[in-house]
Amino acid sequence: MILVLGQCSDQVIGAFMHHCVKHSVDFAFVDLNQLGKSIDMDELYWFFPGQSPVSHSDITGVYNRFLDWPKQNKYQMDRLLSLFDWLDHRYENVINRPKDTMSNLSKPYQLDIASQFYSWSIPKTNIIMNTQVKIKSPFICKSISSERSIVNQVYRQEEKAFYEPALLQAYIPGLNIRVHACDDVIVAVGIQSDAVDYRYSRFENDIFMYHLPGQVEKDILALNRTLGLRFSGVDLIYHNKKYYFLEANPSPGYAYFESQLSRPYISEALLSSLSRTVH
Amino acid sequence: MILFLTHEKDIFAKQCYLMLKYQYQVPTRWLSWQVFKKQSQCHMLGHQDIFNAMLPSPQQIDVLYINLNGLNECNKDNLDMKDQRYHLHSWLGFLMWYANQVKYCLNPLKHGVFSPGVWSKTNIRRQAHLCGLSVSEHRRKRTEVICSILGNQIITDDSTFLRTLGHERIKSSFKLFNMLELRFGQLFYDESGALCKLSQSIQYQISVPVIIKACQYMLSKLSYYGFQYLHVLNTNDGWTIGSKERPKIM
Repeated sequence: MILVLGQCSDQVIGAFMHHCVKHSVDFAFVDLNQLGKSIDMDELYWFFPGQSPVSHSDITGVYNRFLDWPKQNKYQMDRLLSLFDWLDHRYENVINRPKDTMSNLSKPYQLDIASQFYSWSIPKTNIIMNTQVKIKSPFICKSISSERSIVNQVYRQEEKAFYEPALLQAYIPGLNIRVHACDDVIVAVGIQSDAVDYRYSRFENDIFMYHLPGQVEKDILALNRTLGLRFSGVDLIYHNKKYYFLEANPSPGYAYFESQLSRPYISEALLSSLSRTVH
Repeated sequence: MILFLTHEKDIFAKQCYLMLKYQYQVPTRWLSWQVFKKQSQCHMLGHQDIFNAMLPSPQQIDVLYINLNGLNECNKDNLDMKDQRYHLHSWLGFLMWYANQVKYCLNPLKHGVFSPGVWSKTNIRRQAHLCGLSVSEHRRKRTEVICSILGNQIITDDSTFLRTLGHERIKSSFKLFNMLELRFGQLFYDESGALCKLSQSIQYQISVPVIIKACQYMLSKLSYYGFQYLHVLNTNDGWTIGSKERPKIM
């Protein structure tokens, strides 16, 4: 049985569970808002309302989509901590373990690691705080951490105040590429968009299958291994015949991209990895 | 240069800082979170320069002592939960990068340490067992002996306790620290030598021997172009080049 952890409103969870249903794969969904309430766990079993207990030993894989801490009381907090322990140390097959997702807490930390690979370049990146700067060439400003920020403004000639630490990164025009890498499977798509941040485009983006050079694919797999990730969504930009690395997302929202493709390639790869026995 | 980034009430760090600065006379700086968070800083990734800053660049720091307790306390006032979290994560995002740029960090800030699962009691107990330590089963009040771990040294006020603990368990204690990627911290044992808990910082029994050992440990990580700094000499009754090494010219 596959355990799916997340929140009901998450479309990615919805897409993955839909894929499991379609292929008659046995799964159980743990709504993290319900953990410690209608759903509970102990050292041996999971307890779901109206169902027989599910033994931890029957779980072949866990798809972890823990994105945000739900509101919780002390008991629920204990359950969440216990769940983290299972995910980090006790279940054998987890995509991804919480401890491995934490590199995304610091984009510059991740960029430093990514800069060890030669098939891509890192855009010129500054970390600035408590400083007023006058920008002279096109830059974008974005959050330094895993907190999402909308990056739709390109600063060209203006002054900008930085208070809390944030990134001021060279603006690279070009084709956005999202690469989903799950174990050794790679699915890359190109995103042609009118917006700087395609996630917030006013018009529909054109999404198409993209063929990456072999060395870029190899480096993405090697980067995942370095970060400890089994599943990631790597953002690249292709500009002037060069690839630029932006970030590796450890909980990629892949459903949006997959819905534009002819087959559920990413769900298939995930399901295959989660059904596999890991030693 | 040794840099301390911590909260105002970190007595252990403050004592180390003062001893390093005034007794050992090495370049040392102390910045509380409150002061650090107000510094103007501009770092360029992949470059050593730091612009318009009162701080040394990470490449100039030999040892960074970092204690994240209190980081969130000097936040802007009246922030809602979402803004508070963003603010905290922004600082953690910066510090995680900064700590990994310096030569030696106490304790290291690798990304794995941010998962709550790593520091759960269950995991600490499991790792302790794996290292060969017995774990105390008492949940409440018991006598505890505190041992400070400083690199490869273990120090306690109760001098007879280390004999109780024995060579094997001391070795296991270091192994546990290595597994958790800790260089500094404290272990709490019951009288029989079973482990009760672990702390990632040094908060109790901050005695002179602990401060001296900690300073010596940090000094051993200072490097000046190929030699290692040990300490300032307090006397001048010796020779750099002895008289035998200075032959008379006939």
